[in-house]
Amino acid sequence: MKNKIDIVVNDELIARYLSGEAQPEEAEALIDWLEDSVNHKHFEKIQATWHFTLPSKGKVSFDKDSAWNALQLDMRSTSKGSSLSLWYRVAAALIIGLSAVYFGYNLFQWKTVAQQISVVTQKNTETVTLPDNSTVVVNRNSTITYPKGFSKDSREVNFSGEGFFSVKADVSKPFVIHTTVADIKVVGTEFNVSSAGSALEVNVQEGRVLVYTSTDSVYIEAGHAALLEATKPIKIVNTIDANQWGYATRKFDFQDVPLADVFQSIEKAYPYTIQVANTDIKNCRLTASFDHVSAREMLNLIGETLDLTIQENDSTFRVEGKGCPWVQ
Amino acid sequence: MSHYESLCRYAYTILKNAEEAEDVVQSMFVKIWEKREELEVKHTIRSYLFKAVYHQCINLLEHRSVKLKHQVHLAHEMLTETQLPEPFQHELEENIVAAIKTLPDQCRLIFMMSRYEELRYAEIAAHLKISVNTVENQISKALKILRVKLKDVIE
Repeated sequence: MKNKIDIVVNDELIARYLSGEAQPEEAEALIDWLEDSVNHKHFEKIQATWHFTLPSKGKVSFDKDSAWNALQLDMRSTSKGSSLSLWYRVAAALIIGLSAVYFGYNLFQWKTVAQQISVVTQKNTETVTLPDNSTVVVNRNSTITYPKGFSKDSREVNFSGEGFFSVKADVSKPFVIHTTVADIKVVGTEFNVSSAGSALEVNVQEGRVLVYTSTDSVYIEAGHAALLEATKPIKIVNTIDANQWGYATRKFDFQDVPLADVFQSIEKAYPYTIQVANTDIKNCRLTASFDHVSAREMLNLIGETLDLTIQENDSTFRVEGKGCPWVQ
Repeated sequence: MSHYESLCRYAYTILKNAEEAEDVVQSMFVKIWEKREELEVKHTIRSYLFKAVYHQCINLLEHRSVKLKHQVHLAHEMLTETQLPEPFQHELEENIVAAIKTLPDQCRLIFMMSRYEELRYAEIAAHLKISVNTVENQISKALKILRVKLKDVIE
C-alpha cells in the first residue's frame, strides 16, 4: 500500500492539506505519515491553529455510529448476482476494509430532501415564523418554501414574490434566500425582497446583506437597495422607501409626497383599490405618518387634511374633491 | 482512522462543509458498489477512493457560484484595512484577530483569502498576480506564525 512516488510530508504539505489544496496522493501520504505518533502530534498542533482561526469551520466529527446495515441493504438491493466475480470479491474486500466504518446516520435520507414547507399567499399577507424564529411577512401572491428544520450550518429558503424578512442573528448559520434571479445572504437583519419575473429588488432596512448571482455580487448596507434585472450587473440605489414594505410594518411615513405615490403605497399594503375622480387630486402633497392605522382610517385622515371626500364601495375607495390644481 | 473518516476529512478540507463532505463520500461508496462490475482499479482501493473523492469535490466546487467580483473587491479592502469579512467578525475572538493582524501584509492577505474567503490557491495567485508557490509558502508561513502567537490559547 505504499505510494510509488515519494511524497515528503512537511509543514507546507500540511498547510496545503488543511486549506483544501492537497492532491489525493498527498492526502494519502499524509495519512500514512500520521501513523507515527510524533508526526501525529505535530500535525494536530498545526491543525488546531487552522481550526482556531475560524471556529465555525473548525473541528468536525464524522459520525460513525450509524446504520452500516442500511448501506448493506442498499447494496443488496442493487446487487446483480455474479457472486464470485472479481468485482464481487473486490467489493467484499472493500467492505471488510471498511468494516470499522459506518455510514452516515442518514444514508437513506441524504438522497431525499428534508421535509419542506411551502406557504403560498394569494389575497392576503401572512406572517411566517421560520424554525429559527426569524419572521417573514409574505405579501400577497408570494411563495416561501423552507425546511421543517434548518440544517446544522445554514438556513436556506426559497422565495418568490414580495416579503419582508426579519432574520434572527446567528453568525454560525448564514441565512440564504434563493430566488430565481439571485441569492441573498445575511447574518441577521431586516430587509424587503421583491421579485417579479427576471427582476429582483432587495431593500435593506437594517444591517447588511450580500446579494449574489453567478456573475456578480454586492453587499447592500442599511438604507440602500439592490436592483437586479436578469443577467445585468447589480445596480445599487442609495435611497430606500420604507413605505414600500408598509404591508409588513404597518408603518407609513410620508414627507411631502404626492398623493399619487401615497395611494400607490396604500394600495400595495392593503387589498384595496383607490380611484381618484380627477388628476388634480394626485398632485396634492402629503406630510403625515401612520402607525398601525387601517387603510380606511388613513384615507379618511388624508381626506380631512386635504379637503377630499372618500367613498367606500366593496374593496374600492373613491376619492373626490377639487384636489390641487395649482401644483404642476 | 478509518477510510471513511479520513476520506470525509479530506473532502471537508476541500469543501469546508461537513455535510457535503459526508455526502460526497457516501454517494461515492454507493456508486462504486453499483458500478462494481465495470470498475477498474489500477492501484489500491484507497488511492482509488481518494482520487474519486478529490474529483467529486473539485466538481462540486466548480458548480458553486463564482463570486469573483466580490472577492477581488474584498481583497483590495483587506489590503488597506485589514478588515475581516463581516459574517466572521463577531465570532472571531479578539486574540485571533490580533494574531492575524501581526502577520506581514502579503502573508495576512493570502491567509485571509484562503481561510475566510475560501479561495483556491490558484484563484488567490491569479488575483494577486503571484505564483501558486508563493501562495503556498505564505499560507504555511502564516500558520507557523499563528501557531506561535496562539500557543497559549490553543494548547
